[in-house]
Amino acid sequence: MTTLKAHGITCGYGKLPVLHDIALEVDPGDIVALVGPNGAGKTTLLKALSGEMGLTGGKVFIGDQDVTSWSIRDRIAAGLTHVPEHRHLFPNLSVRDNLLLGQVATRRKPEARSADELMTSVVDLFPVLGERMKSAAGTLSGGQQQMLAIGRGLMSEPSMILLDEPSLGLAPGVVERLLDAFRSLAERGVGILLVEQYVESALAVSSRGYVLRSGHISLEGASPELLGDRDRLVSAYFGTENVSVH
Amino acid sequence: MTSLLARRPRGIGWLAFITALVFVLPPALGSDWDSVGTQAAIWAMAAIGLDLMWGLAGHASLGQQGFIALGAYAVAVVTVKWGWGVQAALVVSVLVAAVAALAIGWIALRLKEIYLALATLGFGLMIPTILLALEYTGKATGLYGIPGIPAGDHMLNARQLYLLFWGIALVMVVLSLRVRYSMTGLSWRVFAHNQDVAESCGVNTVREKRKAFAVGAGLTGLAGGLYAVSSSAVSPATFSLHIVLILLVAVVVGGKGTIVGPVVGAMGVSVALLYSSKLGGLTDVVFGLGFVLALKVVPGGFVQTVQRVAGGLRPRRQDTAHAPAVAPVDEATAPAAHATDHVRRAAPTGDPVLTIQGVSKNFRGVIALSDVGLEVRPGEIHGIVGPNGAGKSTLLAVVSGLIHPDAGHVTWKGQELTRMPAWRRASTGLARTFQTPQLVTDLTVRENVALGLYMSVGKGLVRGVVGRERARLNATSETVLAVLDRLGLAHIAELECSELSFGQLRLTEFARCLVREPGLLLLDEAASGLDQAEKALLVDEVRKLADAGTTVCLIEHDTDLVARVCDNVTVLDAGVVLARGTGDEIFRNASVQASYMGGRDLNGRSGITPTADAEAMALDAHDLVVEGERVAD
Amino acid sequence: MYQQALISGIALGVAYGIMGLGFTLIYRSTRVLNLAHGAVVMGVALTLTRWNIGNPVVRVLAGVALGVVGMAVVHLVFMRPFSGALPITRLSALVGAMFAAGGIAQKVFGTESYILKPLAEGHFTMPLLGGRASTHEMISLVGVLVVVVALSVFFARSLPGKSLRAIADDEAGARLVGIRTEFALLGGSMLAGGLAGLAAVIVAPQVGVSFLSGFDWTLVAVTTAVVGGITSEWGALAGGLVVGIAQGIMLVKAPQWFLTIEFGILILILAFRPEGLFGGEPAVEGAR
Repeated sequence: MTTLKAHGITCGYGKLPVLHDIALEVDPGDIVALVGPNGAGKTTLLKALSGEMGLTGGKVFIGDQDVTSWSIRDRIAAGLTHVPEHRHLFPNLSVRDNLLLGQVATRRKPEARSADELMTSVVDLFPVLGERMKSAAGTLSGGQQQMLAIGRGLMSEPSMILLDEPSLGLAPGVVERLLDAFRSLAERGVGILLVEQYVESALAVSSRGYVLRSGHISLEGASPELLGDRDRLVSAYFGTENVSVH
Repeated sequence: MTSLLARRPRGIGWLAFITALVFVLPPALGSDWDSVGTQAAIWAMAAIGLDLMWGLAGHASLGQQGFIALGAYAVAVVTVKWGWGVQAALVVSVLVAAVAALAIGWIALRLKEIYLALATLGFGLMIPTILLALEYTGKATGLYGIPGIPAGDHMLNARQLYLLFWGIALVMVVLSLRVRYSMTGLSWRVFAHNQDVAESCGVNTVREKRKAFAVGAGLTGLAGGLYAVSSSAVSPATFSLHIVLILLVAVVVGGKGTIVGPVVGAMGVSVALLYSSKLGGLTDVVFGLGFVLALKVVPGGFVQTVQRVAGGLRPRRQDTAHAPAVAPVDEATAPAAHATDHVRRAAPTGDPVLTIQGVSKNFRGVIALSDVGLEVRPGEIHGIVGPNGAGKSTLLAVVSGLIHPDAGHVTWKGQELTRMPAWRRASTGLARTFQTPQLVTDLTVRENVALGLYMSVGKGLVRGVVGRERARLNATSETVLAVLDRLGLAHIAELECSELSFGQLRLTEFARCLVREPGLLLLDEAASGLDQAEKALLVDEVRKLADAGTTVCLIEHDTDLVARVCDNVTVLDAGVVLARGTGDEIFRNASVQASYMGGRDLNGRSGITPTADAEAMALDAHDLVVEGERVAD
Repeated sequence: MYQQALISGIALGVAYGIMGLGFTLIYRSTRVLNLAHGAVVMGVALTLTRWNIGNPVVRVLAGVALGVVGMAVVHLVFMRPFSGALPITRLSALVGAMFAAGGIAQKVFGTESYILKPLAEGHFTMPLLGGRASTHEMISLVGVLVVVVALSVFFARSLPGKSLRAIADDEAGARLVGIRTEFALLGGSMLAGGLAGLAAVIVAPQVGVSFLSGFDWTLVAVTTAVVGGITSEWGALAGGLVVGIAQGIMLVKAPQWFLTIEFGILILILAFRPEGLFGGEPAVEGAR
């Protein structure tokens, strides 16, 4: 199992710089929360880590390998999987086919487990997918789609997962089931970088947390400590001119 | 002379250039040019027609040879079969092509771009096959004996015909340029890129699309009619797909959307055709590959490239272009400015003018809004906040008419808006901005803002062309400049929006609403991406508007700004109204703060770990819903 | 008389179907209308008339190989450089390709029309239907059915087929799971090229080939694909049959309307059922 490390990450879209000199680390078996207001650059940071977006500065390491110039596919093969915002499933393909395509980058690796074996373990984690194997992904409910997106990510046997707002648009009960799944993945040694708007839930499930505001890390630390000092958290989240908390 | 849509009337230099070419080319290219040059004038007219349809209005028609064939045959039938005069026949050629455009437009204009291209392609190919099959039009032989244009007791000779046709083409250029720089032309160029923006500014896009399509086709039909006159015979084989390629090359290589570019392109194409016999039958190869190369290398076309180069030689406007939008506010004073400007306005009273009742909307089974109700009083600034995916933007889209709700009602000043088309809502005083600023990137700031005046400036096509509109445009240009000045955008008024920073884009979009003096203003993510100074400016303007009686609804993630500016705030979460109250009530409350930060915990309750004093305040979020009356007190 | 019209219509339809099939294949993965498809079919057919290969099996294989190479060139020169461009720009580039190919064909092969050798000689009377069909047409029909089934299986079962569908569904998602989209799209184009080669050996013996055929066949492919619903392989075959049979009847009843009916069908479908007879994608603006 490997560590995901990044430092000096700087990038943006055209004339709109989004991230400034971000440093971050996720260890195996750790759930790390990345929270912050809308537009802070959380999604951009995940894209920068997964290789979807080019950097103007900084480096990304998987273990001790510098993967900054690697393609998405090669990063997946090295163990880094990105479960993106809005899921990006293949709506006209079946659940099974969506899962199968999750393995394209790694299926030729000599140590790769068989697709059936991997699918079984995904279904163990999300039993409901087992019942919908032949349905088109577009017909699933929001929660099922999110499970499928995570399941598809797991098909590449990642040691590190980037999760972008998995709770978006989901009912609380479903979120709870997802968080359980994340815990059990972490117990197996998978590192998880969890982007969330739900600060409290995210910090409750994670061991460490980063608060991202306007493209800068405004606060980081062990999650219980962050939760413990609410004033600091709120101020890091909303900025210093926030209405005071009485 | 300052006009609204351009600081100086553009295209005059190009017009002079084209006119010069018309007189220079015959001696330069010899007697061949008389007939080829007459053809060139016809190509130029057809290219202008395509440029109106595609370059301005965004409809890439691949069926232009159909309109040319109809125009040509109209002239042939009317003169040869019916014995009418040539002038009347030319009028008929325009009408026939325009009517055909309305017919095919009825099918094609509602289709996506690619399918529109296919429908017109089928149309253009079908017309010659019909002409080939009909006895009346002489089948493969076609019709011949079309009279020339009489001049006194003889017919015009080749040189005279050349000059006459180019005279007509130049008149067409002038008129089309007037269309381009009229309010109608502006609205075409906007809906070509963004239909939602055009509709929200009051443009009836369905009607305007048809108009643009028919006008462009009419000019193309006239080109066909003049072709028939110049060649005195027509046959179906002439109207092949090659016409489409030649017109595409003329428009793209010359400069799509510039009117003058396609004319220059048509001249270039004609010269190339003149010498193509020397290419030994490789015309199609040269044209085909040249076209593809041009698409890749100079996608903007000849005219734009020349303008770029010329612009690069001129002293750059850089010094002013990057001047700060407003007087620089240093970090130390900025927050202070925020703190002191906060003189709480008297809460607006009066009966609600905007009422939203029981609005629900599902997208493919995903609930975006569920039974949402909202009341806003005249002159009130109402904030809408909530996490991503809460349904805030959907709610604004329902109010502005871009989305029709599955259930519920929206009324504004007693008028039922729920089923009203978006463009008609503009006339009730409604204006909006978008989550990501929606501006046409290759129009200038001033042009983008000017569309806001679409409702108040006359917008008829004819008025735009014959010039009655101009006086009013000039008068209202003062409005545009004044607003740009107020927002610190005056110095970038002539820059294309592609050159702006994100904050400037947002303010430009805000300016487009301001020039209309809206009765109801909807701002989606009003301030995101703005720096402190820009935010202060925006807050100031929004307050002024509200004081003058404008009702404002704004979505914003900066809770600090919302708390300071908004009289009342509604919290949406997962499509449901979670809480409403004054800004202070909402954000001082730990519970709402928790819910806004996403504190909804695993059991669906407020997720803040209750501390001693917070516990007392940790109400269930739903208890916070304050009735409208009490808020107003 | 109508039996004969029906049989020649079906024969045409089968040839059209295989052209529509190659056309839809590229559309399914790239969302580009490959207006150069007919040009590749033409190029293969003209080249085969020059090579004069006696053995029909070798001729088919040579045709497929030529088609693969030809379409790879089209992909690399006229599609990939425009991959990020507006749909209409991508379409325009292929208009250029269509004319360039026609021009080259005219230069190399002149303006004559050639007939390619059929896959087999002879005619026979159709059982049940009556009327006469050629052996070539029967072999083509069987061959095209096999190809349609094979393609259905390819898209439904194989990983490359699923990858292409995934790219069409969500290209960003496809890249995110590690599909090498550029590579896959080139593969898809080459597969379509193979179908173009197959179309050449089927259609050129029936109707002949000249430098103008590229235009005609592209338009046939467009019509066929739109009629059938542009994302379905069975739809392409059915669309081909609709157009072919309509034209077969026209040949008998009113030959002067032979071409009009093709474009008339295209326009009628776009007017009343723009997503195609057999369900494709929504074609009306704003449709969700």
